Amino acid sequence: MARTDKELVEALRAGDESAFAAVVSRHHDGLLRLARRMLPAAGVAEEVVQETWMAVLRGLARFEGRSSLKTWIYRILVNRARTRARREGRVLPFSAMGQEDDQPFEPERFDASGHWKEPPTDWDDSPQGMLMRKEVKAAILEAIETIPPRQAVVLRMRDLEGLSSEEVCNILEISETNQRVLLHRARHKVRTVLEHYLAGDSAP
Amino acid sequence: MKNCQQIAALASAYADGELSGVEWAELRMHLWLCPPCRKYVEQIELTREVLEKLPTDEVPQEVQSELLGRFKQWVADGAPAEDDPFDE
Repeated sequence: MARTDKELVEALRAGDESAFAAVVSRHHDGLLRLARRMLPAAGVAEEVVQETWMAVLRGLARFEGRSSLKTWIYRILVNRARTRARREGRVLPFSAMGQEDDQPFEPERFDASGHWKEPPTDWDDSPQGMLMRKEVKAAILEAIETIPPRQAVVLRMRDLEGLSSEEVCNILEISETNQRVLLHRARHKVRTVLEHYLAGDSAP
Repeated sequence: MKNCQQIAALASAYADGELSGVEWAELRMHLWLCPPCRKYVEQIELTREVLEKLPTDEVPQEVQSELLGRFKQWVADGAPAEDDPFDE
């Protein structure tokens, strides 16, 4: 059975290698993929994730369980990424929020009066079925790599990692409204990818 | 009254239960009357479900070993702590 956060933290503090291996295998890939969208220069995300793991260990004594261990680790990652960007004289994508957020939603799918020009078509598969198809899974991952970084970061934290809206706003220092717009635009793009594979006749 | 485009833009907030009472009621009414928007919201919910189930990649062996080495070092050093892990 999976250990609770409290048990994991106690095991880590006691130097239990299997606990560390478990935490790394659970979160490393997600942390790295998120960091790459914030810090795209080659090798930088890898370094920041390494630093994050060390900061996690050195900070364990102060982990109070007010958030989940996962949320706490992601908070450390984003703060490290911010520090790193600042040191290199740059800012994370989040400081430049807001330009695209006022534009009308997906204008090509709607007519001038806001009615569907191309209504959604039926899908012929379940989520489990979709993920069984290698090409669908690869296309979803590719979509998450290619959507704008702010959308990708919010999508990863909310849907892939399961952080709450409040936690994400808090960690990224963005407003609820911004977060909502970014998340929906990201989901919409992934939905468009799924539509391409699942809308009956349109074989890729 | 919101049109389909404005309704679709709120689909995630609706699906996540993050709309205010008034907006929620307006969406609910629209969806009741509008099959394409209803289908769109369902597909956004399915998309969220697919994303939640998306498996992560395994950590490469050399990265595992490198990190485990650092962990052992940290333990050997007496598990040093730092005041604020959020800052450098």
